Amino acid sequence: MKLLGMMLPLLVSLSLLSGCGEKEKFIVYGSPENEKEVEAILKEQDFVDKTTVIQYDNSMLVAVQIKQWDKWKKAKLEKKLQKKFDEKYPNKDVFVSADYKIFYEANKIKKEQVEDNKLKDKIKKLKKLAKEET
Amino acid sequence: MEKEQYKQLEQNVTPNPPYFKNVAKAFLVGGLICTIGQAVSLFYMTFFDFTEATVGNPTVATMIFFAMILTGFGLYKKIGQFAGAGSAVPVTGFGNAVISAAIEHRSEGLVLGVGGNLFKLAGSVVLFGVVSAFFIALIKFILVTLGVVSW
Amino acid sequence: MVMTFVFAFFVGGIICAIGQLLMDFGKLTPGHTLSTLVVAGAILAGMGLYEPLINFAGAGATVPITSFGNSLTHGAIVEAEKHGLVGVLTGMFEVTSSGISAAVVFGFIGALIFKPKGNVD
Repeated sequence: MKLLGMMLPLLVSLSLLSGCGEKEKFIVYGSPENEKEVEAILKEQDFVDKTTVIQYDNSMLVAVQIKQWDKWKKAKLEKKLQKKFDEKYPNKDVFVSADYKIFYEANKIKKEQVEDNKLKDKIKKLKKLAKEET
Repeated sequence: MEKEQYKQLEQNVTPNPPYFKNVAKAFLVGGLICTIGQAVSLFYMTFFDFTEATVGNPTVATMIFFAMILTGFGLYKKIGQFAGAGSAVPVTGFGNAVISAAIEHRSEGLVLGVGGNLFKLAGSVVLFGVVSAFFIALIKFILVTLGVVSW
Repeated sequence: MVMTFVFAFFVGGIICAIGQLLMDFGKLTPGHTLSTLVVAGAILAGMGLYEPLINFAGAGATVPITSFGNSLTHGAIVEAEKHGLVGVLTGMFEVTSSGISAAVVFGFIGALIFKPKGNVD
């Protein structure tokens, strides 16, 4: 019982932590003409928790974070979203990833306001990274 | 004495382990070790080029490094006395088994002592891991060839 | 990410609790318990269920010993997929579990720098 008592405060503090940071869940960075459209596609997927989209020329990096209870199906949902974007933007080179690392790097690109000429290389590098297997 | 009777007697004599307490302790310590592992994973994803798919390897290696330090100072054994499976089931427990065997047999030399006894305690884990991997891959290959399942 | 920490704790804790139950109720020795868990991890990997667990719980699935079974089986299956039956055989020599190599390396280093304390149990 003492052990349960030890766990309770831990759980409470963790649930408090997860409650904050609700704003700016859907971010689109780069060429602004289709911002709303991309946001709309992502918003209608109920498994998507947070996203950051980086755009440059024809490349588009869609970094999403999946809701905790949908993470079991991460690979499947990634593919589903990729298909959706490929259909919507057949002329664009879209890459969807649900990996935390890709999401983290995408946010960093946005935060540091990376210059346009460097964006392309960055996106390429992240794509390669995401495709690596163990 | 009949075998059945002996068993009965043995059960009467052996005290029942405090099941709930043991399981709770294993859950807490095991969970805590995995939470530390998650922090290590986050560290590697933040500062190095590892994704969620590839971060498992450096995480496991780092956890075993921690196990080496704790084992070397004789602390892992103390954690184990409290936590039971909680410290034995994470890879740190495997690391502890290998590393403690290596340290204990150092005096017999690097080849016969360390080399010969490294897997004295943890060998069965490696054996069953590799052998089951082989047979499961084989079974899966056969099933795929027969068209029962797909890769 | 915060949620991943919570579930790393829970899933990792539950796997360890299962290990404790195998030892207490199943009357298995620690060696038998760990071997059972490794085989269980390998079977789950074969059924394609371990990867989703890693997605869900992060280190809660990669840190327990069951992940050995997963990484070895996963490697063997990837090779078998690429090269067929030969892949099953050659795959076994290519698959690695970073845990095993790390334990060997740190075991050696540990033996060089630490003094024995009568710790083998």
